[in-house]
Amino acid sequence: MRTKITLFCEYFFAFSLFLLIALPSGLLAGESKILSMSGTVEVRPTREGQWTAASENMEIGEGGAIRTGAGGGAVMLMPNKTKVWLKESSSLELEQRQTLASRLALVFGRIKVRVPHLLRKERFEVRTPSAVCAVRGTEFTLGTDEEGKMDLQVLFGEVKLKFAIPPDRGSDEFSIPQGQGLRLEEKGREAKPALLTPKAEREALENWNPGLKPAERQKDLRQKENDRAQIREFAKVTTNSENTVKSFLNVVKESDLEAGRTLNDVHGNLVRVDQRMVRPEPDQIQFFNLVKRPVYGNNGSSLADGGFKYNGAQGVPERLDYMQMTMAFSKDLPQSLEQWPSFFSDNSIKPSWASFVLANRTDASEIFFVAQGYKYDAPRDMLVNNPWVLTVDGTTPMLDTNPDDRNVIMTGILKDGGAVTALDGLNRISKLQVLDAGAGNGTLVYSNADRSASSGISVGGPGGNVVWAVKTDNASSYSSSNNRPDNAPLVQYQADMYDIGNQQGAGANEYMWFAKENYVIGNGGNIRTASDFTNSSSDLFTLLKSNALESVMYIKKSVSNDPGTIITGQNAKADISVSDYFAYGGGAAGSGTNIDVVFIPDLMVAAVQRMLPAITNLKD
Amino acid sequence: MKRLTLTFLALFLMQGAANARIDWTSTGMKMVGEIVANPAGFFYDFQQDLEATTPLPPGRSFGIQTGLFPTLIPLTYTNASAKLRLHAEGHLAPGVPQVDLIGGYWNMLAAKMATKDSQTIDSAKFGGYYAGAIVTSSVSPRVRTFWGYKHSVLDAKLKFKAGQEPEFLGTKVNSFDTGFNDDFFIAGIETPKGVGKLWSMQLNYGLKTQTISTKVSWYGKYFELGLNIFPEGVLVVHPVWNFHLNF
Repeated sequence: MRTKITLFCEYFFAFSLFLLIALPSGLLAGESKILSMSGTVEVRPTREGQWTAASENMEIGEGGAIRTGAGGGAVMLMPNKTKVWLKESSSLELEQRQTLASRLALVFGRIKVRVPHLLRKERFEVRTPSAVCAVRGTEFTLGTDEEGKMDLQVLFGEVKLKFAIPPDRGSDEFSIPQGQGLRLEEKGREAKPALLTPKAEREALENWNPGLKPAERQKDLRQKENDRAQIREFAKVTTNSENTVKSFLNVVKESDLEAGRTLNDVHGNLVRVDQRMVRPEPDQIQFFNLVKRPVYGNNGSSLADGGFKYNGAQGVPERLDYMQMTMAFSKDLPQSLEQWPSFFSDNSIKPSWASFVLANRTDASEIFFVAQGYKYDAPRDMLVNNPWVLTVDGTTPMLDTNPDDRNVIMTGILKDGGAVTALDGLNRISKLQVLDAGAGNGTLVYSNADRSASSGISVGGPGGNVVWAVKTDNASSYSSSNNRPDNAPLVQYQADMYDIGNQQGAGANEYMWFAKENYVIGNGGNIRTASDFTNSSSDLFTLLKSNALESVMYIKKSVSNDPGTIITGQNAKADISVSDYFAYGGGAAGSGTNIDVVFIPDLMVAAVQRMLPAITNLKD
Repeated sequence: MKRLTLTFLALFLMQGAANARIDWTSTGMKMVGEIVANPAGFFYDFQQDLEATTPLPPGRSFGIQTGLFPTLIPLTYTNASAKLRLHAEGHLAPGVPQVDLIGGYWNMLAAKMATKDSQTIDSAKFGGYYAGAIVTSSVSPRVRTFWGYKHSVLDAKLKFKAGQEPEFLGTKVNSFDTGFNDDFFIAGIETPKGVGKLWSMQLNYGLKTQTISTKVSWYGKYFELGLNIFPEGVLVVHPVWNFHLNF
């Protein structure tokens, strides 16, 4: 039994050894053979054999040779899939043909060789009387005469060439990459690689199959060139179309500057924000930010944190908040936004006036608003916002030393039913067509269109209440942003006291607080922290597109109506009444509403970028 | 080289004449606005100048590169790039293209130096890296096309000293940690213009930012001269000078 097993093992080992040795040679069995030929072709099958007329599929062994006569040509396939094309009057010997080494010798004439993938340690060489070319994964052509004059063109891959006789000058070894070749005029003379000329490249690439007429040899090349020409033409047409689309997009960008976003506000309400920049008059530019909410709620959660009391109704349907900035200039603006920077770089361009309007419309017949107006003060060369803004044009501006040179707001409830509707009233205010009525109590009248005189129509309408007020210079403001912890939510509460009609007295309802809650929010309504911006890999534009600013504004009553007693921020907070200054929507006195604007910076950033020089000129 | 210098000189002179009426104040302000809007994008354009995204020449298996202008000088981007050939074209099997791995790293020296004497900045790091692969295939003996992918990252970190933090809406900002990263698709064409001298043109497309940039390069044994074009960048054209060695 033991003997049988031993015997089986011995047979198995012997068989395995046989497979190991015999299989590769079996796989590589076979010799080089002639694939196709034309004209006079002769073969010497072995080293010692006789030259005989060749025929297709004839085999040539190691030491064998093949030669072509005048007008003859042949293609030879080697066992390692190397293909060799012989042109007329060429002679090639198969000097060595082993598993890992092949060497051809080109005695004279011209050949093209395509060497495919070789085994890891396999070598393939072509020798001429003057050099040896070692190749791998390469296609090249080689020509030589018996004296050693030779030329090589490398089509793909790389050929390592070594001269048999070192030249008198220069290197005797070169690595010649594709697209280059080498021409040797005489054995032992210096030669260097050079780029293939288009003619040489074309000749090398043409079809070398035997029996083809000269016109047929370049048929494939011509076809490829035609294909390339068509691709070039296609690319040209595509580029033209692309340019047309680009120009069209530029036109659209310039003529229709608008943006919009849907997000949640800080109270969790769904908000749709639409922005647009328009030119209502040739010399004016207007930017507006429209905030629409299907339902508005405000749970007053900010009150405990230092915010302000919301007295308006909850669940208000179809609420609309609005922010508008209008600016007029001394000259008409160019049509194209791209021309604006150079337009504004002209120092003779001055702003004439500007207005900033914030409004809320919850009730169909009335609008709650806060507005600021600016007029160009020529001596100071800047836009100013002080009581002079509410005078007819042509009056002397205030000096900056005047104690009344302080910020002015216009605010109140505009109502329908009078000579001027609430909407028209807001429109006139945004055009700065309002004047101090001169009653000493802060009431306003509309001016005529060119602000040269009063129209005599009171601002506000029947039952409305609109006043102007100047910021007090002796009461402290309230700001809750001081000393917040690191990386705290980006929230700011701010309130400033205003003197209605600049009466400077201490009567009831003579003062009001313009209070603001500012939040930086994400699209989900979550309040952002500084690290959301400082530790972000997004660029500024991406950051801006995923964030928004929400500002909730109130006009509150003063508890004391005495600015002189408000010395600290705490005094200020204590003086801000929970009651609103105005009544809104038919509610009781003190039960007003707020303006809750969500501002998306998308459009403004683009506009500011384009108009940066203009803003610089405005200085303020 | 002489012809190239003369061409650049002619272009420079022509550009001077052509731009004689440009409103430089407005242009400058616009550029500042664009840089402020996307500083990482602005500095990343320079990173692209030093990135070695052309294939290794045929027959070369390893290459190193360092950007000289405008990266090392004047921006003090100390940088090193490398290329490694994984597979030579047709080596493994006919038709299998050349495959190169590419990668590099840079660090802005000036950012570190600026923090040394700063009263407010504790540390600053401004640098980046990239890595990718390029596949090259010959369409004719003198024309190669290449395709590739690269992942590029730019890091900008700024840490303020305790007590010197700036405030943003009443909140102290301890540090800035921002940057830029994107994946790029690369496509290009290369052709020799002499022995050991190559010319290439390539297009890079940022998949995330959806921006296109093009690189036109002339390179020899030691140096690469190029014109990088960033149509959406602040500086649209970057002349580039890099040093490289291929083995």
